[in-house]
Amino acid sequence: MLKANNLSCGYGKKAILQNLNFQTSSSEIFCVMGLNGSGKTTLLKTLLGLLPTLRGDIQIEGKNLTKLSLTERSLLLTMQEADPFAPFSMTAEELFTIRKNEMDRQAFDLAFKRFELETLFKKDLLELSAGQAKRVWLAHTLSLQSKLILIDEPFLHLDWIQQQNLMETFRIWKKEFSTTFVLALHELNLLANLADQVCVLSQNGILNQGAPEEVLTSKSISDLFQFTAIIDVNPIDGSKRVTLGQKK
Amino acid sequence: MPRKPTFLLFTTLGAVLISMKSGSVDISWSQIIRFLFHQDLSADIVTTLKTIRWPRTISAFYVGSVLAVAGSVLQTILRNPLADSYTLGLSGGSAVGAAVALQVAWLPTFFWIPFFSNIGALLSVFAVLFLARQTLKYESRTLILVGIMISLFLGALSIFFISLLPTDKSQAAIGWLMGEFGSTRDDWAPAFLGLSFIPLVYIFIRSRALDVLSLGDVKTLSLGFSPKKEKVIFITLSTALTAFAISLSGLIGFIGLVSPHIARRFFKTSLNKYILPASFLTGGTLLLLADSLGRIILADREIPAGSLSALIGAPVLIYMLLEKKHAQSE
Repeated sequence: MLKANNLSCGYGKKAILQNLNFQTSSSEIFCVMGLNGSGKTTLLKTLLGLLPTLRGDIQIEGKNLTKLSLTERSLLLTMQEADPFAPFSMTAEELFTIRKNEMDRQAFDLAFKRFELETLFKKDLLELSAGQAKRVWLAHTLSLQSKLILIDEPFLHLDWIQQQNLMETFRIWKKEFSTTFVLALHELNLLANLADQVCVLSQNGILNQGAPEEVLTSKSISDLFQFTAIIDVNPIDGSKRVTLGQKK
Repeated sequence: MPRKPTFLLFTTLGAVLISMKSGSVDISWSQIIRFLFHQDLSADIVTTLKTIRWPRTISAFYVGSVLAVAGSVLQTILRNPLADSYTLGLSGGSAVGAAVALQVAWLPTFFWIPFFSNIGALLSVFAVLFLARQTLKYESRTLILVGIMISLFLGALSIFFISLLPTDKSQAAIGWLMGEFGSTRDDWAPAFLGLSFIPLVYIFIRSRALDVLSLGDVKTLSLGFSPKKEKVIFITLSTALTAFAISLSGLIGFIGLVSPHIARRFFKTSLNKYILPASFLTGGTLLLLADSLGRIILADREIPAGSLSALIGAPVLIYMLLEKKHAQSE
């Protein structure tokens, strides 16, 4: 689906990430993690085409990103920022009228239900709480029906219930619409249970990548954060549990 | 919904009538109505209305409406509620351009002033955006600070140029700096309206693209538009509109800033297909009222419209700066 060959990205001439090689298959959740400033957002913006690739190339379904027209590109991929905002009063309903093509009714209805928008739909986005606004933006992004969706910090501002809800929503989209997700996130417990593939960014490049079972070990996590770490099973629901303890 | 546009249209019409009524020669309402419907009137009243008040009314409405549309576009694409031709320094640039035109051209006509204003305005707005490009977000208030500083600098520069002019020309130029109507330039309004027609129509037709741009670069690209290209197009068009308006009236501040906000609050939306025409009418109406007020307040002399719009607009700007709701990035 998405393939990066020797990709270097950054701002101006300064490369923040160098020689990245990775590949996602379709309907996969590809999670990018790393410390603050490790280049997660830069990578996502480069994949979208907002930042130029300094070296190497990006392929989507075998086609070079730079060869695609803006319209072709927008049908293939879409991105959402960590903290999107509309600068002036606008209701969620109005936000949903801003889109590239006819609304996919099925995706919209599902998103509307999954993100519980009925009480928020007629309200001014500027008057919603950060978490409520986030739900509206996520619903907007998911209803755009791109094959590849890039989201920076999808879980930011969401309460625990909404976080669980969003995990489930990602899985539904993956299955129903064969969507591929590239997510940049910090929440280790969510990441461990959600990712099909994990990519850890550190020191200008990829430190580690692969299936979460291989990449997320107590040793790798404790090496990255410099805190002691344990990965075991949540006794209540059997999910993976990441616990961090003392500073090393 | 249809009640609000009707109300706005009637307000505009009212402002047109008030502007036709205001002035040193006393003309009754019924005479104005009869003039508008081409009925018999005494020759001197027809002359006053036809050659003085009507051009002035058209001119003030044109300048106000065009500045408001330009302000609306700039606020939307920079996602900055405080952006307009004044706070981004392009009015100042356009003033310098016009001062240079008075300096170099033999006859500062119809062609030279708008030509140099356009160049000055384009240079100044791209200078502000260039200075801000790496360190600042366009959404930030700091962008406005840079813009206002550039404005002050350019204001001083245009005064410098004007002080070099011979007395007869500098008198006219000073009136122009204050932003006035009632000069012979009022007769240019129909021609400028013609020139502004294409940019205005283009902006109105592409209101959807403006909605997309208001959501930021990432969403814009995600929705299949090029943020860079669209911004350059829309900034250039709103700069041209501003430069035409300013060539005609001189410096008029705050109309471009305030009108879109009034339109958004009144219509309770920020979708551009509503806000652009609403800003157009609001801006024209406000400037007509400011200009009429300037003719009414003092019996024996006029207060320039630019002065009145700033006297009312500056406190509004300060209020908006202090208001919490627009707090995004500092």
